[in-house]
This record gives sequence, C-alpha cells and structure tokens, in this order.
Amino acid sequence: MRFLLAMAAALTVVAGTTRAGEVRIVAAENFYGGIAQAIGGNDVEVTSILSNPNQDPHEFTTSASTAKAVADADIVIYSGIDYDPWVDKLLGTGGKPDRTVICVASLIGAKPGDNPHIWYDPRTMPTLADKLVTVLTQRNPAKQFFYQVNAGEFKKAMDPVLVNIARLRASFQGTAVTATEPVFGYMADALGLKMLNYDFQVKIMNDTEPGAAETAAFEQSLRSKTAKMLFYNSQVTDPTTERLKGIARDSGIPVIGVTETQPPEYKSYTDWMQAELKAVEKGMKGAD
Amino acid sequence: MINLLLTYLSYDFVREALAAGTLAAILGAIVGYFVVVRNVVFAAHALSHIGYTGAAAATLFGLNPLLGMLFFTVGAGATMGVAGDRLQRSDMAIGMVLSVSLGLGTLFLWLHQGFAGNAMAILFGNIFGVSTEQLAEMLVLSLLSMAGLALFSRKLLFASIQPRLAEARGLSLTGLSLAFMVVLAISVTLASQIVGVLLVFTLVIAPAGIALRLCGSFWRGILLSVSLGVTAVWAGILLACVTDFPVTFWITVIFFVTYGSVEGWCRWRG
Repeated sequence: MRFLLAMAAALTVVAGTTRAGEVRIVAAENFYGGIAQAIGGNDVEVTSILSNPNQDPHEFTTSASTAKAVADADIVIYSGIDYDPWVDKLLGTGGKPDRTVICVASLIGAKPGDNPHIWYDPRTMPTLADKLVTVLTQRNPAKQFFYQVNAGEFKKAMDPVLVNIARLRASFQGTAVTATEPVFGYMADALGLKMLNYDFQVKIMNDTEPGAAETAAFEQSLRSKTAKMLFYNSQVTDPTTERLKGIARDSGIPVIGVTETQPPEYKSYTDWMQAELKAVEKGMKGAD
Repeated sequence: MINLLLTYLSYDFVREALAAGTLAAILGAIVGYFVVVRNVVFAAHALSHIGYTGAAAATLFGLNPLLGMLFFTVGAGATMGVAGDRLQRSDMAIGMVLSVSLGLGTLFLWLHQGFAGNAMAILFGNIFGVSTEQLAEMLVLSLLSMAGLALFSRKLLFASIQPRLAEARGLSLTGLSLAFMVVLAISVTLASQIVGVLLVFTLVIAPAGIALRLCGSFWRGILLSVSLGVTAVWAGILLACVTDFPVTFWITVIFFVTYGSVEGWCRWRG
C-alpha cells in the first residue's frame, strides 16, 4: 500500500505543471524557501527539499524527484559551506541553461570551516531578500516594484526581531552560555552572549566523539554554573546530549531547545525567531 | 508509468547515472569474479570501508574526495598484496587494518572544524549527482584497471586456482597479488562513488557470486557476471525513478532476489 502511495506521489509530481511564466524555485532548506515565497508571491512555485534533517534522508542520498526538481529549477537556493554538499553534486549534472544559483554562504561571505548554521545570523535573511529581488527582477522586470514591496514587508516583519535582539543584548550582554550543537551560534553572537565549548559542539554536529578534555570542560561549565544556559538541538536526540541536559537540570541551569530547520507550526522565519528569542528571555529571567 | 520513465530519461542526471552505473557495474563484475575465485571477499569489503577514511582525510585537507579515497584504498590494497595470500585471507589481520583505518577516519573528522557532510555522503553514494567531470574520471580509471587486468588475467586465474603449480612455473605470486589488489582498490573506490561505501559489496561480489554458481567456464562466467551487474544497475536506477525510493535499495534487492532464486534452483536440481 505504501509502495502504491509512493508511486502515485511520484506520478503526481511529474503531472504537476507550472503556469506559463511562473518561476520555479528550489530551496535546499525550508527557511530559504519561505523567504523566496514571501518575495516572489504568486509569480513563483517554491519547492523546499529539507524540512527536518533527522526525518529526511536527503542529507545523504538524493532521490530521483529531488534531482529532477533541481534540474527543472529556474532558481536554486542553498546554504553552502558543506551544509548541503548534495546540492553541489546535483548542480554539476546539468540543468536549465539560464538557471540562477544562490549560495547563501557566498552571499554573506561565510567561508568553509565557519559555523554552517548561517540562517541564525539576523543579517542573513534580509541580504537574501535583496538578492531575490534582483534575481526575480531580471526574469520579470515589469514586476520589480512588486518584489521590492514584498522585500520591504519582510524587512518590516524583521524589525521586531531586531528590536528584540537589541533589547535582550542590552540586558544580557556578556552572559556565558553553552550549547550541545552550534545551531544557535550566530544568534548567540548577535545577542552578545559568550558561547562556551564551541569545539565540543562541532564534534556533536559531525557525529564524531568529543574528546575527554572537551567533555570534562563542558560538564564543569554546567556543574560550576559558569554557563548560565544550555542550548540543545531539539531535532536531535542522542545519549551525550541527554546526559548534558540532565546535568544542566540538576545544576538548575535553564535548558533551551532550538531547532535546526523551521518547524511547521511557525508560518514564517520571523515567527520562528521570535519564539526562540522569547524562550531565551524566559530562561534568562529564570536564571537570575 | 512509461511516460514517467521517458520524462526521466530526458534528464542529464538520469543519463549520467546510467553511464556511471554501467561503468561501475562492468568493472565490479569483472574484478569481483577474481575476488570470489581468489576468496578475498573480506579484503574487498575492508578496502571499500578504508575508502571512508580517505574521504574523511580529503574533507580535512580540502582535497578531491576521489583522490583521497584512492590514496588510502590503493595504499591499503598494495600493502595487503605485498603481505601475500596469508594476510589477504586472514580475517583477523584484515579486521585489524580495517579498524585502525576507521579509527583514523574518526580522528580526521574529529580534527575537522567545518561541517563534515561530504564524508558522510560517501557512505551511501550519490548516483544522481554524478557530474560530467566525475564521469570522465571514472571512465579513465576503469579503462586503466581493465587494461591492467587484461594484461595479467590469465596468469592471475592460473595462480588463483593452482598457486603451487603457478609458482613452480616461475610466476611471481606476490607480484600478481599486488597488481590485483591495486586494481581491486581502484574498483571498490569507483563503485563506492555510485552505491556508497556501505553497499560496494552489491556491485563487486553479488554478480560474480551468482555467475560462478551458474557457469564453470571463465569467459561465460565473466560475461554473465557483467550482464547481471549492468542489468541490476539499470533496473535499479529506472525503478528508483518510478518509485522515488533510493537506487541502492533497488540494486541490493534485485541482487538478493536473484541470488536467492539461483541458490534455490541449484539446490533443487541437486
């Protein structure tokens, strides 16, 4: 039965045709897809490939429908710096001759080896929004104003997020925090928080074993309450992070779950970020 | 469904997957024949996993993953070849080499500061992401390996089946074993580009194993092995297009069912 359903799904994917003039956008991750939809409106048809890295095998192998979506795309948006290497591979297999590729990492000047969770940097999405206005206008110059208005709307929605960041920064700048994975890293920087144990976080991100000294330092930062808050990736559960969460709770340190991709309950990137900032504020007030 | 297949066949990524899959299947089927005859199945398995260490090293030093993998697999293959038959068939010695290599791979990933998506990707392969340049690399490497194998295949077969007699006739067993292990290392590295390190076995062992069960003669066995390999890869890719399931799933299932039926049939016939 599931097999038949999968076949039917595959058939409908191919049967679905785009309206004339509609721009096909493929976003490797759903948060980029959301911005593309917001800027392009009805002019674009957006397909987001990765919604949850833990429920989704696309990180490792690429299905035929994903490869087809990228081959058919007019615009491809992906994060880059090795976060989604399968996109690089698919881009090497041909595609539309006038395809535009937006690598967000290159757009904001992130280099390989940097923390790959660049969408948590509050400067990233507005930069992407501007880039999308340029790219979409090249395809449909008559609609330039429409795209600019949409980008303006998005930035207006970003304003309360930035205000919130500035407010929290004013109260909690310099507070030491730690995390099991570097997911929240850029936002923590924006908030002026001092992030401890970065090397440990990279090991967990890459599914390698953190070293003994790193693990000891991490546990020490929780037990001695040097770290005032522990962030973890709520889309990943593994024994090491469960253990650290337990130590944090025993030491009375607030434990805050953040997500790597945009959960479906949030309609937009800004809603998602606001919810996480709210959780940080609640945790910080509880810690004092 | 036919329409869907035709739609897919018009895409470059499907055609490049078919071409790359065919290359890997042909080379795997031929080399695999000698692997089964020489009884070095575990060595083949170990070499493919050592490729993962190469991919991890390439990630750390920012090199081309294929080069990194070749460096490690050819190095390990040559070592096994020089160490001779006793090591090649010693599960213990190979197991030790395999585990230290994987340990080294863990260290490379540990030292890496960025995101190690590429090294993980090599475990499962990415047949729909084969670029034209990658295809060219594969073509050159598989032609070289097959040419090499063609040069010494008769001697190798002789030495594999009757090593003592071959040695008495003045053949260098170590030389042959070294040459073969290097070719094997290149083949498993190519095959892992397609089906991934974890599933290299399907392309290198399965077709040859089934062919040897059915045919006694060398040429017919090789021919059957190659046709089985190529058919399974094509069927796997096309089924993956129709169902959207992973290609590797289909290839492994096709081989398992074929192997099961052949084994059953042979036993039933007695």
